[in-house]
Amino acid sequence: MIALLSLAFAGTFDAFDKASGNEARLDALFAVIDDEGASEDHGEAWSRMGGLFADAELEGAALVAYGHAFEKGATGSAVKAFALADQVGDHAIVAGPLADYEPEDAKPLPGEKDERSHVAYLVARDLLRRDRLGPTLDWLKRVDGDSPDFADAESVRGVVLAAQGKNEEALVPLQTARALGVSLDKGERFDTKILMNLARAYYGARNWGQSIYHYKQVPRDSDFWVEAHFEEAWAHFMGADMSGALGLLHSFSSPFMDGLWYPEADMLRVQGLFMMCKFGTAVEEMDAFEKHYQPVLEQLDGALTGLDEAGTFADVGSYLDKGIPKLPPLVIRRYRSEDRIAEARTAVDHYRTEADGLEALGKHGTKVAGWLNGRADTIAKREGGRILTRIKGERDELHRMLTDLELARVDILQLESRLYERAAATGTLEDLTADRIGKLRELRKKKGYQVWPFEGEYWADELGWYQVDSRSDCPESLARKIGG
Amino acid sequence: MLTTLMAAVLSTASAQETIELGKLTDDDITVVQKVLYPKEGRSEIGVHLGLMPFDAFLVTPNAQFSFDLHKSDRFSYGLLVGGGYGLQNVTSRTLGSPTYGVIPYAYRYLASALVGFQAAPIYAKMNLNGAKVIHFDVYFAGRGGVTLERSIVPDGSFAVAPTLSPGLGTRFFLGPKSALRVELRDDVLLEYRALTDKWAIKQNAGVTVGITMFSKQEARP
Repeated sequence: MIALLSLAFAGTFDAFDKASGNEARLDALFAVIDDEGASEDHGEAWSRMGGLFADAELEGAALVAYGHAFEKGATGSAVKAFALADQVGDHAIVAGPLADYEPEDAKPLPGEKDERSHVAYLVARDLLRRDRLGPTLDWLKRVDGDSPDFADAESVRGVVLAAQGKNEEALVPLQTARALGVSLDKGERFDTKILMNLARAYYGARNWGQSIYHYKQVPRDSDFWVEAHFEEAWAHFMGADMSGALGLLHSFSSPFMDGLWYPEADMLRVQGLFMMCKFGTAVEEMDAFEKHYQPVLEQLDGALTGLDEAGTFADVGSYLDKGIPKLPPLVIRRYRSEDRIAEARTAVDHYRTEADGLEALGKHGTKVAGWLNGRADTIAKREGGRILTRIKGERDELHRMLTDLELARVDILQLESRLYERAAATGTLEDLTADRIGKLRELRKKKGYQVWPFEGEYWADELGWYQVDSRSDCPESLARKIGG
Repeated sequence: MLTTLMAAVLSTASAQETIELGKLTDDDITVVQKVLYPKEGRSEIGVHLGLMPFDAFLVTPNAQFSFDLHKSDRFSYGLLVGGGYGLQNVTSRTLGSPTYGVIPYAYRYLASALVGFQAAPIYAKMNLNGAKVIHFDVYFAGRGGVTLERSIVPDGSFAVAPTLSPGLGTRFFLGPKSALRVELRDDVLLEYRALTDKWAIKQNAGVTVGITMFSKQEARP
């Protein structure tokens, strides 16, 4: 096979084969690449250049070369290229060109079964990041059931199916991924991610009970716990369990959550209070929301002015390096635990560091440094753009919430006053506080749990353990069925 | 969304219904927290160092070994075995000096073995300067057993005294498997004193501080 290949490229690569030293070899390869008449050999030239860089331990440069090789159809070094991508933290540069092949045009991948599966999984993951759901599923089919990547592949399959609205179908691959994760000992973080996705799939399938059950299993010390807690509140809300939702959302009223971006939690709390006709508290919450978020909105508007993609990436990087960001930490705190941004930062650092040490390439050093810095800029722009889009979306959403709040406030005050008038005309208010001791006594019977009365003081270790036991203040006919 | 919902409420409200309007108060909210340091079904083994400083003539350093079996988070049975040696304090030494030449007829603690129960009705937590929340319980102990003592008078006799021992202690949880236990205990001994041929009641009040380890926690549903 190798002999045949050598024969096939005989002539074109003679100069390369005879050259000694990296600079001379690069001369030979650039001569082929710059020769438009030898366009059929361009893929092989890039591939050989990738190999040359890899041997010189210039992983970033090798990836750029392999990326070009894949674009030209030379995918023979895919396994090696993806191994380098693991090191650099940039899979997109090699996954992207492979992913761009239509499935019928995709060439068989080289390497052992597990290596091919690894490549297929990474290509699928790249496609998912670009929201190309159909091709993602096609590439996932190439991941072998016995490969170590199969658990991850099943997880991605579940996410894609859920994103396509096939929530019930998504449950099977997600459960498979979870079981495999346990048997392959993939760790708690993997398990928690699957739990979150299972909970979301059940939520999408409107199975509130199962959704809540899975959210509850997310460990308290996990990075995902706050998100799970908030989403669980939504499941309670959609299941018309307002007390359950309010109990979970109470944690978001604590000062410990002040640094987190969950305006929707406050709005959901207002809605829950409204649904229970707790108008007084709802109005107080709305006032607090406005007081808290109006300055945040102004700060966000100011920070976003003139901030471009690369600037956003740098700003988030500065925050992650304990610097002072331009963007409010409230909206970028989440990136502390995001794998994707961590990977992108690793890759950018790698490319830039490598670009500073290319003396061994002689006259080609400047050109290759340009590629590497260019790639680093592309990643920074791509990731910064992603973050910027999200934050702008959140800014717009916050703006909408504050506007809606003003409209709602007028309505709610009118409603409250009218209901008070009706209450005065029809009867007296019941005294529910008399039952307080009895309720606490009942709760204390719950084995394995400690019951503390809430007296307005927040303790960090009590977050997530609040329960609201309050009767709806709405007349029976006002009972609303939500999400049913 | 809110506006729409409110419009729906307005349109369906009826004047005939009793409408209670109110707020969500603190009374409506309860913290129902999973017990971080469950004791039920677990055994607790500990080693404690103690001191009986309140005796008129002796100061008794001692060491105790405890074993408790927690039937619930609030109740346990246990065994407490210890030993020590009563050292003469300043008063005792002064009396025994050539100036006075009197040796008080005191009995020094040598060992004890007690069995009994602990009831822990109080479970609490404290905020340690905003840096850490420490959970602890407060328990009452009731124990009974025997204490071995010996007179400090030369050739004085031994006494094996039936003992009742009430105690009050607290257990600061250091983690799921260990605790720091501080206990104030008052051993009340019914002691036969051979030299005077009399039964006497004696109190050995002391403080112990120890580290205890819990057995593995069984998974709770």
